Amino acid sequence: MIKNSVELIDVRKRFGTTPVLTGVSLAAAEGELLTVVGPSGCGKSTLLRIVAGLEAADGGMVRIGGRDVTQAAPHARDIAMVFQNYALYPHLTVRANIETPLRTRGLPLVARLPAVGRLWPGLREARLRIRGEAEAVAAQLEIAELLERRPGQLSGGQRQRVALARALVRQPRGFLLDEPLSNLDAKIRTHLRAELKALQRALGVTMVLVTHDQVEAMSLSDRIAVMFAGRLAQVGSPDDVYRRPATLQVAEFIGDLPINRLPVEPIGDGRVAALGMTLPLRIFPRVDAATLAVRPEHVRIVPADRRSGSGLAATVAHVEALGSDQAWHLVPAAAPTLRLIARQRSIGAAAFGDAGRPVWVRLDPDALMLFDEAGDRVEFAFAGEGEQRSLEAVP
Amino acid sequence: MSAASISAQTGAPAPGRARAGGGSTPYLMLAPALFLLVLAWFAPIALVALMSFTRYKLGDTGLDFIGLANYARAVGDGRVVQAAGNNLIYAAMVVPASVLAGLGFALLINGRRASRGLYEVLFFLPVTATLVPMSIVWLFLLHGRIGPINSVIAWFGFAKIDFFTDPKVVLFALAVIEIWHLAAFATILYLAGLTTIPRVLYDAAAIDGERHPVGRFFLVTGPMLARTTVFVVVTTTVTALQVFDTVLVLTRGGPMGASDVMLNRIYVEGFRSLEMGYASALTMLFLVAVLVVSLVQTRSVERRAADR
Amino acid sequence: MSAPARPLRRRLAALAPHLVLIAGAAFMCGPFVWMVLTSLKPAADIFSSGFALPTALGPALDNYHYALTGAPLLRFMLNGVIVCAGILVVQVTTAVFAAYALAKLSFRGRDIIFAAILFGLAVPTQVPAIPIFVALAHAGLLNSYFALMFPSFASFFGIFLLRQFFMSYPDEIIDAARLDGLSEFEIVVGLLLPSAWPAIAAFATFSVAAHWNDLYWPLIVVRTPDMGTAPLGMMYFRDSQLGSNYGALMAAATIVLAPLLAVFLVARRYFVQGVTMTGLK
Repeated sequence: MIKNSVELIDVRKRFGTTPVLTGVSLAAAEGELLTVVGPSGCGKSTLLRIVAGLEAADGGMVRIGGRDVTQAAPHARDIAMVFQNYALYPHLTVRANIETPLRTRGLPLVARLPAVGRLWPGLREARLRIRGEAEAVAAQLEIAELLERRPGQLSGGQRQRVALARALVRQPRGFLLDEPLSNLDAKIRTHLRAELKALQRALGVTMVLVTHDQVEAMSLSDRIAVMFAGRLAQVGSPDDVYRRPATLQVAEFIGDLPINRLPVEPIGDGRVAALGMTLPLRIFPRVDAATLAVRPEHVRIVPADRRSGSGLAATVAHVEALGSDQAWHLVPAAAPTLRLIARQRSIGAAAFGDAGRPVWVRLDPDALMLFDEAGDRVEFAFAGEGEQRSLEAVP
Repeated sequence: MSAASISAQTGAPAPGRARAGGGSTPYLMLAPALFLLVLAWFAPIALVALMSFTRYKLGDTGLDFIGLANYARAVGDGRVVQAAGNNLIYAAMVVPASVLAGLGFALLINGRRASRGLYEVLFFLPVTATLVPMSIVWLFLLHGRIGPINSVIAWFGFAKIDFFTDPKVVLFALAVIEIWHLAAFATILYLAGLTTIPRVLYDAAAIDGERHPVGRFFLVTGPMLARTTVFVVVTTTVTALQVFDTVLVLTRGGPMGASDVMLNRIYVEGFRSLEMGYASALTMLFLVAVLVVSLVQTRSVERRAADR
Repeated sequence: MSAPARPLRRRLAALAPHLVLIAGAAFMCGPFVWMVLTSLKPAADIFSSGFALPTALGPALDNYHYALTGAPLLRFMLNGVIVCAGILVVQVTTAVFAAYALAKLSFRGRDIIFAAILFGLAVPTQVPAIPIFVALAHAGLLNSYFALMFPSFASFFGIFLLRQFFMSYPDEIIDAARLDGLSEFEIVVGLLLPSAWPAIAAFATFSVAAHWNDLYWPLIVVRTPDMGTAPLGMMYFRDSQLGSNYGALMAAATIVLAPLLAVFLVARRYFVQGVTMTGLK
């Protein structure tokens, strides 16, 4: 398990007087694809660069394959990196790009110089071996026919594969990817995402990937580390992070539609009120003010005239088309300054889509999340069982 | 890009570049500049070519055509041959020294953090210097008897050198002045070029294992400076070939033609001896030489950059 | 990295770049320093005291006095200002429109004209001198401001530089202006000219430097001392009786060099930008 892991232990970094990373500890196990996700400026790229050795940490330790590499230079760390803009050498062919990591290790400096290097005697075996390995990796990534081209002649997706090939060719212990798909068109991005995952699975390599796109993180990763302002908020599987977010910030960040937030007040007896609804919750531990959060996919709407059971009244502000789904923006009757978003399969607009139309909103009780004032998630239980679990509106 | 997309979307003929000219507007806009260019450049160049086949002297009323006689005379004219040779030797000294020094200084300055701004200013000073007054300063610095450089040479126990009156050394002394001027220029150009290299390529090189500064230079810096290098080499060479001010002020081509150069020949023949036909032939030879050199250099450096 | 490098070798290696740069900077600034120091010293000290500082103020004032009176230096510099300003104004006004036409309009002959511009860039400025001189002589216009300015009125480099700059100006803004009914001329004057300040400033530094420093053409065209420019003035000075008074000579050199140096130090950024816009892209 230790052999190919990538570990960060209590890493700290500041630029001038601005702290960028405050005690980050993280470990990617062998063969795992770990994604560090967070908004721009949260420090994730700096973190990756520290693992690569391109930046020095002010404190903490970096271990790769169990070996302390904190003081080691990038080339001695046995890692490879794919950059956001691929960083391919523009004047070299694809083949020469891929061969570079092998040449720096397999040939002496003089043999690597242009013009002069070609005259350097001997080393034919080394050169042939390097050529063969580069071609093998190119074939693996299906870019063999591009070997004689230059990066300037390639599309974004092709360049990304060349960057991957250059990283793969050395078979390092760890792969670091800095926003590898951010510069691609949406369609290509989806396609390459799947390919990247398949490749990682097939090769069983350890990958640490950094991105601001939470969709990407959710679909690619074995585990996700969510980061805000230089600190890790949560590390867990995509499912964990989605269903059991540790903080409100994590809950808001993960998920493509904005999460619904309802302010909540305790009204004694362990009950809380939100938006004119009383929730028979028992909260552990007791909090004074809190936020109730529920994802749009767990908010159901029915036409006002067909209301049944518990819920709350709202009117439609507008409906957003998302392809197979729709996002309904609603104004709760009890709190006209708030907005609720409900997500559901697309239905005809004629059904009840006009702005101002009244609807009845139901929240899925199993999907409710409660967060205290500090933003941390709070465990709670419903008082009572069965029917009493439903949410009632205060008359 | 936008014009094409507009036309693609609307199906209407696109405004902007794709439009088949606003009638006479482009020609009106070009007219003043073109008129002046023709008057001050193209027509005179044609006239110089024409005059090179004549025996024109200032004050003549007509053109007396003599075929290629001027060119034959130029080839046989010892002073012209010596001047041309001097131009080549001079350029051979000035160009490599200035370009390499400029590159070296730029690389070093680029690596500094605190002192970078100071060096940028200090190395820029020679670029601003008007050569005529500066030549006189150098005349004093390199003076055969009272100059400080010679004082230093004498202090080391060597004999003083008559920089401007010794035919073996005079071209070298003039070259030093030019190198002083052009190395600073090259430094500034290379510094600007270095800022265009994306930092991330150095990151990639570090990860790829390239740890020697020399290796890094040949992998990233050198190739990325290819365009800058073309520009520096060509401008340095053309400037070196156009040397005149220092020669006129300091040596007048002497001693005995040891520092004579083509532009000086053209000036003397054309505006002192007033033999403008002959001077025109010399001018044409000079022009062709400059054009050929510029072209050859541009092609060869670009080709080498594309090979790698 | 493996074993720690020997401290002495490491420190020397770190010191080497600084030493080279200091030597280089000394080479670059040395002549200026020498020039100013010499201009402040009396004749006796000049040959003996090397890099020592001057002791009294009197000789310095004498040197500068000789410099200013031995030849009409201030007049020469004024001529230089007039000539450079005149040239620059004509260059910019003609180049702006030409560059716009080449960059943003399409018309028959555009490529040929641009090729001609590129060709002209490679032609040295001294080549057209003879015929222009003859023409001016016949017209009796020698030894005048016009004669000094005329050959430089049109600039290949100006047209080229501004064209490069205009190529990167967004087409959308121009199209919007056209849809609003603006004529092409109004577009140039109202939209492109204001936005082109960096390019114009860059070009101006090139143009002013080149024409202020030019010796060849003024040498040919100027017949009387009152029309001389700065480089010519220095030459007169050196050829005059004060030619061996190095104190006064250096004072004159300082006076002539100072304005351009000041302008360049302020405009350094524009100069570098201008160079970047052309040679490196």
